[in-house]
Amino acid sequence: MRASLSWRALGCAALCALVLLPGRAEAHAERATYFPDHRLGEVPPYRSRGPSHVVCARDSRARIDRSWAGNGPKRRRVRMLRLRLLTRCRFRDVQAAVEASRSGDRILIMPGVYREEPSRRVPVNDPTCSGPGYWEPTNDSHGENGMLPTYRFQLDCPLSRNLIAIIGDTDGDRRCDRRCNLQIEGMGRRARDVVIEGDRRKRDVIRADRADGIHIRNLTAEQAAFNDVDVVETNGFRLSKLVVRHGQDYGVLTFTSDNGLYEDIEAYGNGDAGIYPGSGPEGGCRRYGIEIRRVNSYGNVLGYSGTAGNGTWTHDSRFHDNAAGVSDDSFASGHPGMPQDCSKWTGNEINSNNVNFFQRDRAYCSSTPFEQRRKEVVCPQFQVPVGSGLILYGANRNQIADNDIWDNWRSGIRLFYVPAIVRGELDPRKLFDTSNGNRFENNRMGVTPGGAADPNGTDFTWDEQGIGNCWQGNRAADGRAITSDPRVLPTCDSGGSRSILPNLLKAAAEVPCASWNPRTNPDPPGCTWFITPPEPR
Amino acid sequence: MIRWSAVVLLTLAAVVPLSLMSFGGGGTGPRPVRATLGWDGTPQQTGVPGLPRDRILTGRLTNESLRPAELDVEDVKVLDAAGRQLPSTVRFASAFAHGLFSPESINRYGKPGEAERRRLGEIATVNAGESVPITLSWRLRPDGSRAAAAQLGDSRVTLP
Repeated sequence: MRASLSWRALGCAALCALVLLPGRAEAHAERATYFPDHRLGEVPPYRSRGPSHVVCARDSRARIDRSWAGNGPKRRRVRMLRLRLLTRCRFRDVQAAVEASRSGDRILIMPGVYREEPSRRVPVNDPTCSGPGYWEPTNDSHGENGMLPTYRFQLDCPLSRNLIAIIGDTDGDRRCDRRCNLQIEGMGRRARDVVIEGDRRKRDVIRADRADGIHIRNLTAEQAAFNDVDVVETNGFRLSKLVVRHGQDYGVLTFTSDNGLYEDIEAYGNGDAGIYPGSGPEGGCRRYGIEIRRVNSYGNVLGYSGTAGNGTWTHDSRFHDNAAGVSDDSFASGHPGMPQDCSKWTGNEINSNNVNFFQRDRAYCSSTPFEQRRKEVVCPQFQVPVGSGLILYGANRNQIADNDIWDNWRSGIRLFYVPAIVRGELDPRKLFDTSNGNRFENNRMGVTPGGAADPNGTDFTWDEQGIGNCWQGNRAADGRAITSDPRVLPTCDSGGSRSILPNLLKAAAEVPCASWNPRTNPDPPGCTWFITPPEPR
Repeated sequence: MIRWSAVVLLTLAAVVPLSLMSFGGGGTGPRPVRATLGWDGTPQQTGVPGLPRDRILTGRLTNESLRPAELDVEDVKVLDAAGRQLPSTVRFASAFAHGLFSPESINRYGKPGEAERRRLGEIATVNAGESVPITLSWRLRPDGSRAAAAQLGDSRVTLP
């Protein structure tokens, strides 16, 4: 008892000493951004009426005729409606229509491929925006010579980094005051009928920045040098019926935005993640400010990445045939809302995430810059453990319930802590702040929705650290048992886990993978992440 | 039930690198280590499933000299008994982290700055008498000769 008391005294003293250490700002890959006031926004509804601008390509008429060919009454009626709409076309480029728009307008894009030639002609390093106020330091040598573009850069040089830019705040109060509530809609039968083709140099194909109420619908965006669709500091957004593909990093990225909806999105061929709701709404698990439904994300390095992916509810979606399915994590510094918390996952299918992009096309990726690559080739931007369904690294108070998770050859779900220092967090009160309070309940593990056994390598892999993590009611295929490492997992009824310390060797086993570099160190000693695990039986 | 002994150890483990991030290594960047380093306790070593020639070792290194040691992963080598260098990785960290910038970006623009490298455990400053976490991995030669030592700048520590 005396020893216990003295340890307690020492512990308190040590924590008190920590409080005295000074803080320090860290780097971030996006400019400094701030969460909007969620009370002032909402998910925009779909509008079929109101002022509109029509954009068309030279071959839109032929495409309409092909899409709605035939003499059936419905096809003929829609074809006639589209051809009538085509007569109102005044723009060849989407960006020109954006610039002609007022708040509340709709932009209707007729079938075609849009290369946005005027935007392409604007140099990526536009000298107009090279002076003071256009760049901010990253506290690092990176970004671009240690600097990143500011909001003013986006406002004054919107086409330097973006093919299409909706920049909504002109007075600097971080709220949209022009071109708000725009609805940009492809008018084809399918999302693939309207293609916005990136030039592989501009970072974003479509950027909505402080563009409250933006609704992008029924089109394809591809080949961004970073994000096919990027929504930043925006209060109220809706992304519907999109195809996002072949981005160097992300299909859709939203960042410090709230009151959002992703729906019916197909994301594939992206070098980091199909979708990335990062720095998500801070609702403290009382509300989920971004809803994600009916997303089909496959053929990416990650199906979903949520660094500080807070306050999201993902349901009825599929994350399959990626290198890893889903990540919620706290790896990066400078992301508002760290550490990650409060995502909810229900009714999703997370399966067969065993595609090893780290071995496929390895030589080609390391020798060919993105601008020159074949668009179908996926070159990993960050390392992930191939064969994993859902990876939670530095994640808190997430609910993973009633999902089907099968055929991930390494792990169905991995839960690991991330020391706060990794995200540049020096506040001593946050020292042990991940991974805690995660609940894994009533998931079907290693069994297809049809009921056939199709096991994960291990259903649950855990570093044995954290307070309040629990597993309960998860079910395996008939005649099989849930597999886990450690073998016994704490139940929710028991209050969950109670361990501050991780299993040191489990944590250490991941460290060598940090040294991965596709050109200089593609196969780090000790790292198993890039070896496809054998299919479990 | 909180294990207060664990709190003390973990807090100390955090205090040292935190204090070093806050106060150490300012401005000029890391210099080659010129200090005597030794193990703080016994490091743990493990094999790697599926990679029979690979090993991972994790533990804490203490600066046993009277002046700060500046550590940089680029100065670290793992050597076998004959003094031959083995393929290896090292981080002054006990858990995985990845960078804010992709390796592809690093290849294009050069390695990141000091703050990012400290965050990732690529560099560390260890004051006299203090310690830092380290995780090493290496790949043995096909002839099976075992790893014998890690060379950190001028300092050498024996591998168990």
